[in-house]
Amino acid sequence: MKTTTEQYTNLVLSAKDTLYRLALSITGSDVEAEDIVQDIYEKAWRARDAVLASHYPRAYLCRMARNLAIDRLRMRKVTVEIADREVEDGIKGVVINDIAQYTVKVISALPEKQRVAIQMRDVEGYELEEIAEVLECDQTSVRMNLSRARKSVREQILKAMNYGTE
Amino acid sequence: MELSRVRELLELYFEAQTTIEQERELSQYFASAEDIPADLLPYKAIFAAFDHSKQVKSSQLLKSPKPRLRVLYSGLSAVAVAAALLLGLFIWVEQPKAEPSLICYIDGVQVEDREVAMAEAEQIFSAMAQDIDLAMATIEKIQVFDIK
Repeated sequence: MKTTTEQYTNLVLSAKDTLYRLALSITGSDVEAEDIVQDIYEKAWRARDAVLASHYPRAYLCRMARNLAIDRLRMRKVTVEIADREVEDGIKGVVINDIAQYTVKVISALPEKQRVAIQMRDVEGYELEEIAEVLECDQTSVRMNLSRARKSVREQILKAMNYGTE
Repeated sequence: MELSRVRELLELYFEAQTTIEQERELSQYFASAEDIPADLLPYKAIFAAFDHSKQVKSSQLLKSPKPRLRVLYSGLSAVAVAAALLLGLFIWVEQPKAEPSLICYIDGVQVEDREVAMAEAEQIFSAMAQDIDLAMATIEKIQVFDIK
C-alpha cells in the first residue's frame, strides 16, 4: 500500500511534462513554465489529500498550472499583447519551410481556452471530462472550444500553404 | 486505412466529435501513410505538430516541498504550550497552601471546621455557666452562714 506522499510524488512526476507543456503553451516562456511546475509541486503538496481524492487528480494539477500561468500572464499583460500581435503579423509574412512548426506557432496564437483545449486533447490525449475540469466549464463548452481551435488551425494552415505555393 | 474513412473521421474531428481512439487512428495514418493525397497534406502537418509538441519535456529536477513556516510555528507553539503547562503545574504544586481562616485545638486536636469549633465552644460555655451558677449558690450559702 503506497503512502499519500508516494502517491502524490508519483502523480506529480508522471504529470510533470504535461504541466510544463501546458504552462509553456499559455505563457510562451520555458523559464516561467518550469517555475510553475515547481510551484504546483509545492502548492499541491499542501492540498495533496484533496488532489488525490479528486475525480481527476492530473486534471486538478493541470487546472492549477493553467491558473498559475494565467496569473503570470496578467502580471505581464502588456508584453503578451505585443507578442500576440507579432505572431499575427508573422502569419502573413513568413516563408514557410516547416508547416508542422508553423502549426505550433498558430496554436500558440489561439485564444487561451481554445489553446488549452487543443493542447490537452490533441497533445496530451485527455478526455473531455478532464479538460472540462481544467477549464472549469462543461463538456459542451470544451467541445465548442476544441472545434473552434481545430478549425482555426486548419484555416490558418490552409491559408499559409496556399500562400507558400503561390 | 481507406481514404473515405480518413475523410469521414476528419469531418468528425473538426466538429470535436471523434473519440480518442479515432483521433489516434488519424494520427497513425498521417504519421505512417506514404501516399497521402495533396489535399490531405495540411492535416499531416497538423498531426505532426501535435507529435512534435509531445516531445517537449521539462528538464528541471523538482525540489521537494519544504515544510512551511506555519508548520514550524505550530510545532514550536505546541512546545511552548507544553512548557507553560508544566511551569504552571510546578508553581501550583509548590505554592504555600492558603492559611485556614480558623484554627483551634480541642483536647490537643487541631480543628479547622468552624461549626465543630462553635459547637464545642457552646458546650464549654454552657458547662462553665453551670459551674458559675453552682459557685454563686455556694457563695450565697456561705454568706447566709456568716450572717448566722
